[in-house]
Amino acid sequence: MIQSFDRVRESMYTHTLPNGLRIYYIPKPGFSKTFAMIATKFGSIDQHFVLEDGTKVQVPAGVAHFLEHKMFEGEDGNALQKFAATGACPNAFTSQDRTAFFFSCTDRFNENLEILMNFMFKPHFTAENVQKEKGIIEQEICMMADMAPMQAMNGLYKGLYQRHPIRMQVGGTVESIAQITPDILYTCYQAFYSPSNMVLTVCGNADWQTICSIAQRYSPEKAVHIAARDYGDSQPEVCQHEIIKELPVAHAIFRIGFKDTPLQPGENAFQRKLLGDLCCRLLGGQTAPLYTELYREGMINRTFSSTYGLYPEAAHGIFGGHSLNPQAACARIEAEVQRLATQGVPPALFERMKRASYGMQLRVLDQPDAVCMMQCGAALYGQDFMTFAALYDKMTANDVQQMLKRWAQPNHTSRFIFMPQGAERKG
Amino acid sequence: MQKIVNKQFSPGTMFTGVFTQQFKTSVCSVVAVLPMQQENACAALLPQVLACGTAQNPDMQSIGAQLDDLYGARIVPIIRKAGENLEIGFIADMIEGAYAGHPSSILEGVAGLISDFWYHPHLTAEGLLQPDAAEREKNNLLVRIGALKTDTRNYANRRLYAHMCKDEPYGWCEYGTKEGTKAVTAEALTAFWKNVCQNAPLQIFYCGGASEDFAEGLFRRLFDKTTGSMGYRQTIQHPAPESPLSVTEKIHATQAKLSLGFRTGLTGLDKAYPALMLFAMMYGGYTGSALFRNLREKRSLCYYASAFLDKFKGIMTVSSGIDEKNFHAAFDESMALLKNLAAGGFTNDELESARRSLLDVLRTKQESVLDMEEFYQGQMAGRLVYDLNSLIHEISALTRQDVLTAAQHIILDTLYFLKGDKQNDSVI
Repeated sequence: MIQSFDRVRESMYTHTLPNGLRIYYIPKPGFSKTFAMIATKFGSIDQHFVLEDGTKVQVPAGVAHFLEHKMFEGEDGNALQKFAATGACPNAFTSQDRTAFFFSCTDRFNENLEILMNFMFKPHFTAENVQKEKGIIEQEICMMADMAPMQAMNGLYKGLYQRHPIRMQVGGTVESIAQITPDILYTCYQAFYSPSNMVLTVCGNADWQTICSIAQRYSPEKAVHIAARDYGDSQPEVCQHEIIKELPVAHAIFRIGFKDTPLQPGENAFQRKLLGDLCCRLLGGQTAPLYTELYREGMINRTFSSTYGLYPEAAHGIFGGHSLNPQAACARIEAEVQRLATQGVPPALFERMKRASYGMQLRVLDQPDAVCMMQCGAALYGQDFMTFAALYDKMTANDVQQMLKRWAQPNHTSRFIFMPQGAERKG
Repeated sequence: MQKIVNKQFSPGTMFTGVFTQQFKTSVCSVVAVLPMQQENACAALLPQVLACGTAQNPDMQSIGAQLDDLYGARIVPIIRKAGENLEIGFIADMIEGAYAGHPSSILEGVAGLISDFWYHPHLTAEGLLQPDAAEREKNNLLVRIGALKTDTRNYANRRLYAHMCKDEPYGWCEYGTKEGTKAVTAEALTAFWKNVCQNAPLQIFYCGGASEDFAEGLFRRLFDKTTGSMGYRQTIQHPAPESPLSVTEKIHATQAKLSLGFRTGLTGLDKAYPALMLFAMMYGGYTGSALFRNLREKRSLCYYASAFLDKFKGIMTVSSGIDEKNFHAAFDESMALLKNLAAGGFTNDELESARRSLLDVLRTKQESVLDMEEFYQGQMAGRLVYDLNSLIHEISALTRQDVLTAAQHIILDTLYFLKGDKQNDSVI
C-alpha cells in the first residue's frame, strides 16, 4: 500500500508480512544515503513477562541491552565486520521499551539489508561469547556511571516510580549482567524477536519489492506472541518528592519530573507523545516565557532542556539542566505548571508554539536516520510518524491544559539534584 | 543536485553557498574568525551576550516569539576551534519557505535577526553591551568551564592537547579561564565587540533552496562590513619530541581514559592529507578498524576505541575508555596495531573496506545541512579550497602506496592517562 502525506510532500509504502512483520519504506529520490532500521518492542523495562504457554519469566536487569550486543555475533562471524566490508555504517541501541538495529549506506543496499535480516533471525549465543561480552558491557556501564546528566535521569526515575522497572538503568549493573547466561538470552530472544513484535523501516533510495522480498526470505514463517508483560502495580503518586545526592561537580545538575497518566487502551500513543512534547515546549522550551524569565534571572542556562517520556505504564514530562539554585528553579517550574493548569494557555502562545513544533518535526524529514527512528517508534505503538501534521491541526489549547492538570495533581512531582560537594542547599 | 559557490564579498568577508532544492531544511551561519589567545573569555562570551537582545527585540522573549513565528527557526550562539583560530558567531536552521506558505520570508527573517545580533545589539544609553546580560553570561560561562570535567571522554582529549600543545594556541581552552571570565567588564566586552565587527574576517555559509542571486544579495547587504584586517593565524607545526611525553592525572570517575596524541605534519593543505584520512579510518575510524576489532572485539579491553584527525593541525588522536588495570595492555596494543599497519600489515580487502566506509561518511555529509555547515565553515577557516565532491574523488583514487607513505608521518607525541579515582577529589 502507498500512503501520501501531501502537506509534507512525502509518501510511504507499507506492508505487513503473513508472519506479522510490518515494513515501511519512505523514498527519498535524489539522496544517495539509504537508512534501514529494524526494531523490536523489547526494552530494559521488560524484565517480567509471561510466555504463550503460560510460563512466567523474570530476567536480570540489562538483558535487553546485552542481547542487543550479542545479536551481531553469528555462527559465520560478526555482522559488524560484514557491514564494514560493504562500507555500511551499522549500529544499535536499547532503550526502555525497544531495541533497534540499523545501518546507513550509500552503496550495496540490498546486500546490507540481507546482512541485517540474516543476523536478526539467526541468534548465536555461547558461554564463551557471552562471557567475552561481559567485559565490554562492564566498560560501557562504567562509562555511563561517569555521565552525570544520565545518572541524574536515572535518579529521577527512582523518585517518580515506586515499582516500575524504568527505575533500573538500561544497561543494568555489573552485578546484574554477571547473572546473564546463553539460556536467558535465548528465552528473551524467542519471546520478543518475533516478527509480529517487530517493525522494519527503510528511508532513502531502494526498491520496495526487493525490501519486502528480502524481509520475507529471512524472517521466520511463524511468529510467537507474548501472553503478558508485567510492569508492576501502577501507582499514580511518586515514590519520593526529592532526592539529593552530592557529587564532585562544579555546579548543581537537576531534573524535575511530572507524572502523567499512563497510556490508556485504544489511545493514540504518537498523538500523546506530540502533545506531551508540546507541553514541554510551552513550559520550558527555549522560546517559552518561563525559560526566558529563569534564564534572565540566572537560574538556568542553555543546558536546560525538556522531554516527554512515554512507555508502557509510564508517562512523564521532565525538565532540567545546570543551575546555581536548583531548588528555586524547580519551585518556579512547579508553580508554572500549576498556573497554566488553572488558567490555561494563552491562545497566541499556544498557536506559535504549535507552529514551531510543526517546523521541528518537518525538519526531521530531511534525515533518513531520524525518519526511520520516528517511524519505527510510532509503528511499534500502531501509528505512523508522518501523521504529525494532521495531529497538530487537531490539537487544542484545552488538550494542553488537560494534560497539565494531570501533571499538577498532588504528589505527582519529583526532583533529583546532584549538588556539588559541600554546597549550601537553598530553598 | 547541489551547486557550490565560493565568493569573496570583500577582503574581509567570505561566502560559501550550497544551492539545492533537495531539503526541507535550510541552514546558515555567520562566524567571525579570531586568532586563539591564552585567554578567550571575551570571545566565548560575545555571541552569548549578543543573543540576549537587539535594538528592535530587546529581550529573549521577543526574539523567541519571532523564531516561533518562523516555524521554530533556531539561532544558536557558537564557538568552535579551527586550528589556532576560533570561529565565533551564530548558526541557524529553519524550514524552507515553500513549506510555510511564505517563499522567502523565513530566510530573510532569520538572517535579519543574526545581522541584528551582530550589528544592532541591545545597548545601554552609553552605548555599552548590557551589563546585566554580561554578568549573567559570565556566570553561565563559569558553569560551562566547570562542567568540562563532567564529560570525561572529551575532557581527557582536552587535557591531552593542553599538555601536548602547551606552547601552541591549539592547546588553549576556547572558553578561556575562570579568572579571565570573572575579570571581563561590560566596557571591555563592548570594545572587543566593536573590534570584531570592524576587523575580524567574517565567514558566511548558506545551504538551501533560495536562488543564488537572492541569497548573495541578502547576505552581502546584511554582513559585508568588516575590513578583515585581523587576519587568520597560521597553523603552528611542532615536531614530536624525541621521547613521547607521558602524563597521568586523576579525576573522580569510574572509568579511566587513555588518549594518545600523534603529530603527522600533514594538514588539509597537504596533497597527502586524503591518504592520511584513509589510514586513520583503517586504524580506528569505524567498526571494521584495527582498534575496534582488536581492542574491543578480540580483547574486550574497552567499549570504545577510535582514531580521528584534525585537518587544521594535523594531529591524530586515539581515544579509549578502559579499566585502569588494562592501561599497559591497551597502550601496547594500540601502538603495535599502528606499527603493523604502517609497515603494510593490512590486506587489500581491509583497505577497500576502509575506503568504502570513508566514502560513505563523506557522501552522507553531503546530505546533511548541518554537517555541510561545519565542513564548509572549516574549509573557509583553514583556507582549504577543496569541496566534498573533490575529496571523494581524491580518496577514490588513492593507492596502497599513497596510504603507506602518509602513515610514515605519524609519530607519537604525548600519552595522556586520566585515572578514574572515585576515592579522591579531582586534583586538576
